[in-house]
Amino acid sequence: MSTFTVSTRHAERHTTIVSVAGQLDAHTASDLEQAIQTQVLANNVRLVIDFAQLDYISSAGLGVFMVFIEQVRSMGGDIKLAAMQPKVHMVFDLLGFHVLFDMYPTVDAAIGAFPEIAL
Amino acid sequence: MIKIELDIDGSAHADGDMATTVAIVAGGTGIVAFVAYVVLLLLATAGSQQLHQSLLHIPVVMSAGVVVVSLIYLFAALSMRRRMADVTFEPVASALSVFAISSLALLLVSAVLPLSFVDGMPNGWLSVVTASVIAVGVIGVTIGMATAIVRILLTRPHRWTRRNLIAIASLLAVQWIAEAIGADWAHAIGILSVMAGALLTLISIRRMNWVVTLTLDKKVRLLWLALCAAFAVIVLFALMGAAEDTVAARSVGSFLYGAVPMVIALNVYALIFIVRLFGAVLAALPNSGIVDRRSNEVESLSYLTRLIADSATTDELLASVTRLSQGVCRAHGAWCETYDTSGVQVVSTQLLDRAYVTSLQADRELQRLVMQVTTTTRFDDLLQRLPTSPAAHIMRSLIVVPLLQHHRRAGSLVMMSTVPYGFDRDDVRLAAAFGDTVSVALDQARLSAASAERERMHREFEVAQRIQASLLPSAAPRIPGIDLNAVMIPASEVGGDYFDYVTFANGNHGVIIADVAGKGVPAALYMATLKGVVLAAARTANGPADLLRRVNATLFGSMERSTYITIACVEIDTVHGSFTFARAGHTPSLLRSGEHVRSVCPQGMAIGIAGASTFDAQIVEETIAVQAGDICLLTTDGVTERRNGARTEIQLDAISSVIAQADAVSAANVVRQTLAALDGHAGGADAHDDITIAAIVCTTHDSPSQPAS
Repeated sequence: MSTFTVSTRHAERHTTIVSVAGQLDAHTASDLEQAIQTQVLANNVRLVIDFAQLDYISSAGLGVFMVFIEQVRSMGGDIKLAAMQPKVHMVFDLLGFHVLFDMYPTVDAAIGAFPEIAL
Repeated sequence: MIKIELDIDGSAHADGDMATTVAIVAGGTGIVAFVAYVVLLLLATAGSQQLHQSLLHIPVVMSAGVVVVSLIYLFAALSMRRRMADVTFEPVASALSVFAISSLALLLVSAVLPLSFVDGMPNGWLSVVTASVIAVGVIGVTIGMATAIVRILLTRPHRWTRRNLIAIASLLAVQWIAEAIGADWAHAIGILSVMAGALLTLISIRRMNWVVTLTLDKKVRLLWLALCAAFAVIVLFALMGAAEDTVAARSVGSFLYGAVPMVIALNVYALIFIVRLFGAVLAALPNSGIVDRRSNEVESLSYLTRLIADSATTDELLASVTRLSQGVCRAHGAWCETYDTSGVQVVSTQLLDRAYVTSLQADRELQRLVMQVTTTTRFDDLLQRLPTSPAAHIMRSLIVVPLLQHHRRAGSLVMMSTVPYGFDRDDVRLAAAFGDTVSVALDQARLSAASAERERMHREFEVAQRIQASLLPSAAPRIPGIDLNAVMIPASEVGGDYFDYVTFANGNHGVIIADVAGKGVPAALYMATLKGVVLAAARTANGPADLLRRVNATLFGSMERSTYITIACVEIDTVHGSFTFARAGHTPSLLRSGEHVRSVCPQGMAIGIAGASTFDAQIVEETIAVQAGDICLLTTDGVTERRNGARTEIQLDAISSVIAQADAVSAANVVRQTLAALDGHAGGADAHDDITIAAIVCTTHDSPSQPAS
């Protein structure tokens, strides 16, 4: 019933862009969870979630970010949220998630927020 | 014979008790009449006097007649005592054997005991008694056999059976009368009568198809018994003799005058029956194997059906099936194995050692062969098929039946024979039928287990839902100038919505509404925990923000990472005429002040996502003065996110317009109107989330709260 797709790509500054589209709810949250889990296991912990195509998010969808944030940060990475539609942004805002997560108007802004890695 | 006819007709409806009474009376009368006959005969012939010159002549003849009639009644009653629904092996076999044994006994008695006759009558008391015993024996055996045959014929009659039997009886009567009065034509009548009677008997016993359904074993026994009985009839013929000067003939002739031809005629008919029976059994012998097989199959399949109904466990069922298949296919051994993630399990064995069957798993070739069959398969020569397999030297032929559960291979039923070509096509067919039945039973077992599980879950959900409902307050506190009402409508299962009325440390009342993220049992458990925490914390809390801080401090850390709780809390200050709001990530509350509806959304984050340092800094209170006619509406996102079929969400604006126009008569009214607006929006679509609405109405006077629905 609910349509949801998730795709990942690597971007500059060793970031990984996780693009979500459609409706993120209890039925589709596990898809996202799996996608992020894969990246974390591959040690890709500089994550930018691209919300541009996401129409709806439920509590279960929000829970996914909560699950990973501490682990990702302890590994020296972060989950940055980007390009939210106003309605989705309002949900994050109401819940106070903006306190926990950095939110950016665009994906590029989010990428830019990651510091350069000195190799 | 006519008497037998009538009696059989009559007692077709009479019960066993009646037949027993008749048998006792007839037997008693017979014995008394027999004793009277012997005594009278001894008296009459005392002093070598001729019987027919004696005064006792008539009583002697009469008592003999009574003995014969009693015998007829006795046998008729005895045979009627147990009703025969169909001709079966047992009564026929017992009739034949009794007949044969009694005939041989009579032969012995007449050969051993001395007898002397003078002028057609026994001479001396010993001769009188012996002759009487032989006469009654011969007549009795003949009548007994005749009764049995009549009974068999009447159990499976055809159109003419009854008429034929009456005709035979009439012929016998005519024959006897002709003989008794010593008519010249008696001999001719006798021959004609026997010929006609024989023909009628042959016609009457046309149907012998009950023999076909007997098992081979019973047919062979019946064959032997028929031979013995035929021999016994010949013995009786020899005793009676065509010439009337044998001992038995003289005895019978002296006992019942002129009865000898009648007895011979009856024995001729009996012989016809026995020969006919012999022929029928002989003819049915070749197809015995097939009949045995069929009856065995039918019995096994119906037995299997019963087993399935009775078996408590799958293993029990498989064990029974193994036993049954081995028996029916006459296999030298059988076993049943099941396959699961842990490998091959030998569930049951029949005529084979379990350890041996388990050791066969090491035989890779054999194991592969068994597991690869997709339909019931026969291997006629396993050694040819698997020349290197050690097991093939022992198990020369096999039938492998695949057992399926939900279209998946669940196991195999294997039957083996120690000879090549040990099974035939019928065995395969039968084994396949067994396999199908077992597969159906396995599926059913799985389904019923699943449905029992569903049923149990459903019951638990109902209980959980009841418990959850009982956690919600049943009545609102009475506050002067304030009317409170709230309702929670759970979605299809237990949910995480919660509302309650609290009292703060300063004595002010408050309303709290909460939504645990997620659904189902975890959400409900959090909701129950939340209630305890909220009630405990409220007593010492200074206002809503303080309450929410305490709740977060208590719950953060013990909650799952992926979940959180949103809460909205309102403190009602009747002294200052104000509401104080605090919000932990919850949907904004709505407040109608005068004509204006505003959403109240003080800063604050959800419970359980951050520790005290972050949470406490975030949460702020907002205090708003209220007046009579003002309405505050608290909802959960089940209300704002309630979607209709087209998946559009009802916006806060829509609810705003509801309370903008709402009647501020009572809080119950406001709740009801909000619900009505939601129902209209959802267009009959099922709520996918709990719906909770709490309304606070400022009234000018004290109004009682009513339930919302």
